[in-house]
Amino acid sequence: MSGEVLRPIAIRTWPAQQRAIAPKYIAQGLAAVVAFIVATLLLGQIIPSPTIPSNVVFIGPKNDYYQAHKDDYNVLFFGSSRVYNQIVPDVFDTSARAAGIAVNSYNFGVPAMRALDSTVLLEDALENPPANLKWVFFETILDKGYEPIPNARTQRAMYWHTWENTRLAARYILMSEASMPEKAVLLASHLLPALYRQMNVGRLFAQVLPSEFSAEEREVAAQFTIAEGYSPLVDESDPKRQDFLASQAEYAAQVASLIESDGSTDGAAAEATARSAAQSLADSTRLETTPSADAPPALAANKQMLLAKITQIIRAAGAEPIFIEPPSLDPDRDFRVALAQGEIDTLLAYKDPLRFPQLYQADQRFDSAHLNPTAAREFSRLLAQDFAQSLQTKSLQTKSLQTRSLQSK
Amino acid sequence: MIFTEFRFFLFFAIVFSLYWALRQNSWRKVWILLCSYAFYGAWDWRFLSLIIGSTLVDYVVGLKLGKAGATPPARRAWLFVSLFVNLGALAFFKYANFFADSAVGFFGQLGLPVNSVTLNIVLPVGISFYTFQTLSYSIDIYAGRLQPKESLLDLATFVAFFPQLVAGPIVRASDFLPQLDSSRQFAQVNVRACLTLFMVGFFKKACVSNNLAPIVDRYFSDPLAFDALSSWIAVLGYTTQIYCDFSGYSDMAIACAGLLGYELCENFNFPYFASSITDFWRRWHISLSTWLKDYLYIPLGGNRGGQWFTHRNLMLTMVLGGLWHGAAWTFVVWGALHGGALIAHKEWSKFARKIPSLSQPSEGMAVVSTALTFYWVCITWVFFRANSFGEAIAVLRSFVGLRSPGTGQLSLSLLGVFFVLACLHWLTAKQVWTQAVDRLPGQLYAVFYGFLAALILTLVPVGYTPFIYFQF
Repeated sequence: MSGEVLRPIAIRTWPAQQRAIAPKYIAQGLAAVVAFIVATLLLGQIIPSPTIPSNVVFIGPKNDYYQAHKDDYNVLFFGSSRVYNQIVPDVFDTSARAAGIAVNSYNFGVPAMRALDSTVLLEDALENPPANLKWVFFETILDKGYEPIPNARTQRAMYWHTWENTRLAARYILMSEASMPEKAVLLASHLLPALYRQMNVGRLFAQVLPSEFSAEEREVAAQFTIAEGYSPLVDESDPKRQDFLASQAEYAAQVASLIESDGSTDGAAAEATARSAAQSLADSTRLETTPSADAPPALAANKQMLLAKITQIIRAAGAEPIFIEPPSLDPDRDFRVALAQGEIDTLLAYKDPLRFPQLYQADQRFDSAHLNPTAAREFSRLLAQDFAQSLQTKSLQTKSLQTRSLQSK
Repeated sequence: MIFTEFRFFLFFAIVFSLYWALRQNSWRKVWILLCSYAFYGAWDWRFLSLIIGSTLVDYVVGLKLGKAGATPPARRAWLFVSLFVNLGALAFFKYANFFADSAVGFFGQLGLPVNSVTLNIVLPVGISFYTFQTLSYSIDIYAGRLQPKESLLDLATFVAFFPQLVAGPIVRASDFLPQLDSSRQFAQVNVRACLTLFMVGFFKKACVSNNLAPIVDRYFSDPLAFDALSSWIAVLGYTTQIYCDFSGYSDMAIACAGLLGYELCENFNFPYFASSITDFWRRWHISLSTWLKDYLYIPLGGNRGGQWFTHRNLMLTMVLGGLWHGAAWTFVVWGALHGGALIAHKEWSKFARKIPSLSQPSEGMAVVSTALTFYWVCITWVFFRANSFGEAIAVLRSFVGLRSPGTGQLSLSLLGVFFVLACLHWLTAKQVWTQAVDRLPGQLYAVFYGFLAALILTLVPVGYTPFIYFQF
């Protein structure tokens, strides 16, 4: 065996020995492992990781801007690309002001966020909340809690896997209705980024030689900084856009399927069901609801736990949580179930092609999952309008409660 | 799966443990072969059929070539089968689109428009490496330098041996196959040397090469936006990156093989300290340069003909060597620049031998020639890295001509990083720290290793960067 670096050591050939060498190597191996652990713990103390490092793609630049300007805002939006690419703070603020509510909002949406990392980001961002924060809009899919293993050694996956957050992920997975083998896979998917984080992978590098974002990433960061967190989807050459344009029939079928999934396979009945759902959605903006007799199946315990945590984080920051169901094709109805069960108080839901055709027409979509900039403006306007309406309803209910309380006295 | 990934450590721990737990050599070889196929299949299991097919063809060819009484025409025919199958697969997967595009461009220049046909071909990882290995087997048997292997298991293990499967070193059958004949003894493994070598390779790849990659990429994505100093930082950065990437991989490959009791050939010998371009090619990618010399340059006639004949062979070898690295004209130019430099050095050496003061160069002269060699190598790397010929010229205008096409700047602190790395490299070449490590008592070495491993991890950039040489 030879190598350029260690030629003087490596070329020495050792005679074959019959004596037992295993104990020697085991002892040395243990010494190396102990030294590694001690050094890792020491380095973790010497080079602590920021809560949200600046070099996390999307999240870092968004957080840096937010931390510098947070007291300017009284509304924050959290969620995935369905917030990031679909909610225009400028339009939302103007529409809300027109309805009599003074707001200044910041879009903290980040592409590809899932339930767990969204919750962690929310908690980190609201640790020292903005002085004037009043409302936090939250969007997510309450998924199974899988952390893509190929991303394990990315800053995006590593930064939030503290022991505490990994415990939250484990709790979420263990409380879920997944099978045991599935739970094992889901748990393992968090173990790797957690280990990398605990081993301080890239910690010194990130602080001494910060990773340079690609030209595209820097351009996007500059763009969303100007638009207070919003980024319009305009790249016609995007493969997802091209796929969407090439599969219009498939999209129409998905929309039809979403309508049917509301309860009927018959066209007319589906429409009636959809209208009923629309009514139910209109009702859902009420601040207090009671579970109905035909309420959908109960929300899984892990989802209840996470929604309770999200609500608690937002309320602890002195704000009111408002959940959003964006105009997507995703068939899940977790937020509606949560609303029906009283897990959440306010839901603004737009997943209804019949009630919101302007958000589902093919010419209003960038791809099957996202709105184009025109529809994003329309969605932001609708959201502001419904938000204002829900506040008025709440105000009336509060007055009514106060009146009843005075009368009873 | 690459050597710097967590899952590789897990994979290797399993391979290592079971390998040494097995008593019989044949079972060990079966285990290594299965693991090698699993290692390769982790990229794309479909291309396993290529390796297996290539192994089977060369196995049959080897037996036929070694068969007593085979006539010279029959032997030539069997060798042709091996060349056709191995080089045919390489040509198809690696060069089909290159040749098609070049033909379209050529006929277009002649005013004969031809419809472009671009096939959607995925390049199998490491095809250039294992093709050369299997070819060496057939050619060596044909030349009478090697006896055919009757054990298909041995040949398959040689071709697919996972430490060197995807990015070399290019191991000769005559060097490796004899090692499979006898059972390896763990007591003969220089564990400390292997572990240290692995860590050094890991540091080169994960901490140096991967950290430089985004900076170099940023410059080469738009060289016209940067000033001349940035072109120096970027070119020096790439020069460092490619060396650390490839030699780091070789170090880890040699170390992994060593831990399993097998010896792979040396692939790098401080090439940037070379005193001439000829010396550089004795130190850079040694397994490829010796392969090209033995299986291309010498069969072409080597230096057995006249001066022009030798120059032709040298240039042809280097141009084909360039093309081996990648299917693009920039690689051809890179090879041609090295070929030209080798010819120039050959002529200079002849001239210098006639002048006493030049035939015995002073220390100062040696430093100058080392610096000049390094500078020339840096220039050639521009063609190796650039995305197009035009881009390479733009970089060279800045790097050699010192003209600033733009105002963008890369961080000057990188010059400090290069200085530190150069010092570290020089200390390594002088064997300063390697000897100190060798003298450490066992337990102290283990503690030192644990601490160093923890420290190195803090320098590993986050995100995945594949080895540069995987694409070749």
